Amino acid sequence: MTAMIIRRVLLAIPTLIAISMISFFIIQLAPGDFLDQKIAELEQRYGDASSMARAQELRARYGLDKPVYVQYGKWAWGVLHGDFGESFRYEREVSELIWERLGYTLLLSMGALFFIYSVAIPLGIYSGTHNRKLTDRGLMLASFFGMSMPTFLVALALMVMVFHWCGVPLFGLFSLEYETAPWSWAKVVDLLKHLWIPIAVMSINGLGGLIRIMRANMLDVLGEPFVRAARAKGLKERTVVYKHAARIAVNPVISIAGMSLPGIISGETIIAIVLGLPTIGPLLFRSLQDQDMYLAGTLILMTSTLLIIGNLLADIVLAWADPRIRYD
Amino acid sequence: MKPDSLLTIEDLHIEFPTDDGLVIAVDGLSLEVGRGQIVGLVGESGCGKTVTGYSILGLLQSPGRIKSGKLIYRPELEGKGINLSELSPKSEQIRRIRGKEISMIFQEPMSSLTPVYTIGCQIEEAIHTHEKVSRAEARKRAINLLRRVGIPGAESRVNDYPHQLSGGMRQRAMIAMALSCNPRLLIADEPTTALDVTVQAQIMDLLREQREHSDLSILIITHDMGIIADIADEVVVMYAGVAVESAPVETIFANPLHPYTRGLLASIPGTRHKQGERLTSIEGVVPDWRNRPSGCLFAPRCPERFEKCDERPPLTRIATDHAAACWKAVEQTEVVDAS
Repeated sequence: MTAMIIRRVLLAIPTLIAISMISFFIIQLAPGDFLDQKIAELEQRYGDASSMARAQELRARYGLDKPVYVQYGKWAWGVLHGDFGESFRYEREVSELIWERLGYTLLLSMGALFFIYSVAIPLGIYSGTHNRKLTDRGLMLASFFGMSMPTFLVALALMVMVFHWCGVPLFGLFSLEYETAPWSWAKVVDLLKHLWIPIAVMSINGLGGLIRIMRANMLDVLGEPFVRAARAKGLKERTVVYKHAARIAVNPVISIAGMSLPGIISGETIIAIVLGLPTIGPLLFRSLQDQDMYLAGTLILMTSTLLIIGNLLADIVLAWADPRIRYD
Repeated sequence: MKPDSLLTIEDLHIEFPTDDGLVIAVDGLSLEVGRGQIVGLVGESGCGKTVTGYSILGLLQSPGRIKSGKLIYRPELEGKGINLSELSPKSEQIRRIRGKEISMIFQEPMSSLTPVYTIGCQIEEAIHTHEKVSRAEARKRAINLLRRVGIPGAESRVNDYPHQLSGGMRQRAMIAMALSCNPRLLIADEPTTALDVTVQAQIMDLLREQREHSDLSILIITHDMGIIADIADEVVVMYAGVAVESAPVETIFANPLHPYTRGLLASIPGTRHKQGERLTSIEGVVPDWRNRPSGCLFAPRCPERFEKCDERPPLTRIATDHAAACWKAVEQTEVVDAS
């Protein structure tokens, strides 16, 4: 088991290097760079040569006059030393930009993940054990809606409704008066008041899908001979369902959970844009649009790292949960 | 009803209402398992034998249900016994009988144990369900049971997960689990079908030993006449949901009355055949559930059918311990009686 973890961690290193390289080059594939845009902007505004000179200066400063692999090398060397470079657009340290948004991002994503799993698994078990009953059909209909609803639309609809009925604009994570206020108990309460809406919106798709997956797993497992054998032993139906059936049916969900970890960073970007949330999603979106390479590269590296960590965690949990796939 | 009866099935009807229509799985089956007896229920796939086994413990899968009939367990209890067919599959009463009074082992030893718990844990779970014993005591019993069913190194094997055991060992573990609360009746549903022949013989020996060991009755469900010959005391031959013949094992083999039984016996390789002779097979197929014959269910395949077979023959006692559901057999006996 320990050997497996060490092997996987070691394997992760070349994977991450490859991912960061490829993503760095792909971002650069589009014609021009961030500064080309900036120059075009400057020329339009001033139309003189001084801006050109300023742009050249910036280009040299960010190393954009060098070939791509040199840029990558410079950035990668920095990353190894904890320096993720500077964002062109924001003209600030990448790490600083990410750091100030990381808290809210984690709060929202973890909140949504926790909500999805803690609700979907019991509902899926319920639905699976009440196959074709009215409640099951109702749940399936609801989860189908949840799965197929475009979340940005739900977000917009909720904003309109909340504004219409409550008269409060639903934007961002704080009410106006707390936006810039220092942290206080009242501010926390205000945050919690705002938090449920993005979390609910972010959970809708995943919730619908996961209920259906859990239900299908339950139905599969409930038909297994060992479930019949467990009943034949005289176990209580509850024990049969939870200890024998659900315990097996939940295993595939563990792998899914591992894969959903990168969603913490990159997921629900559209919702965040619509709801004006100060999370990392919109930051990644802008950075890709602008070819803000160091920022984009860092975010993609973070997402990939999370994917690898998520898969490793899922495999460790699976090995613990299922003796058949223990790695010796 | 014999005084020493343990389980009596009377006119059992099991049906499965499906979207395509009503499937009749068991159509008036009667049989009896006496104390310490091994009764073989034999028939080909789809004849309703497994479903009969499930119905005894209320394990029919939805939408299957017992339409009518009685499953009288221990008729001496309060003068009338417990009618298992009246108990709801989710009731507390049936739950107390499962594993404690009547146990069952299954066709699929590879997948009849929950893969995430050790076999010891699963045996102990059965013990804890029915008896108040300490964990140490349950563990000791689990090890003893594993030893009793011939698992070598039981002390360490008790901590093995199902996937670490071979098919034969898993079936032994299942038997240990089934015997853990000393049931009176064991329903063995094709216990060796998935196993290879040598293991098959070992499992049969094991079942026989258990009967000697603890006065266990066994209802063995199989399609294999060889197993019947090997282990059973009484045989009930089932065809398309009904019993067509029942008799002690020697009688069935020496003097089969029903043409279906004769067909089954003629299709096993063995001493009845001369070297080089071809094995016979029964022509035709089991009647489709959509158009069950109103007369004798075997008539469409029967080489000996005649006019009377348009009427359904009841299971008729032909000798003291020999019954057959065949007009021909009835007629012949009457002729014998008259002479």
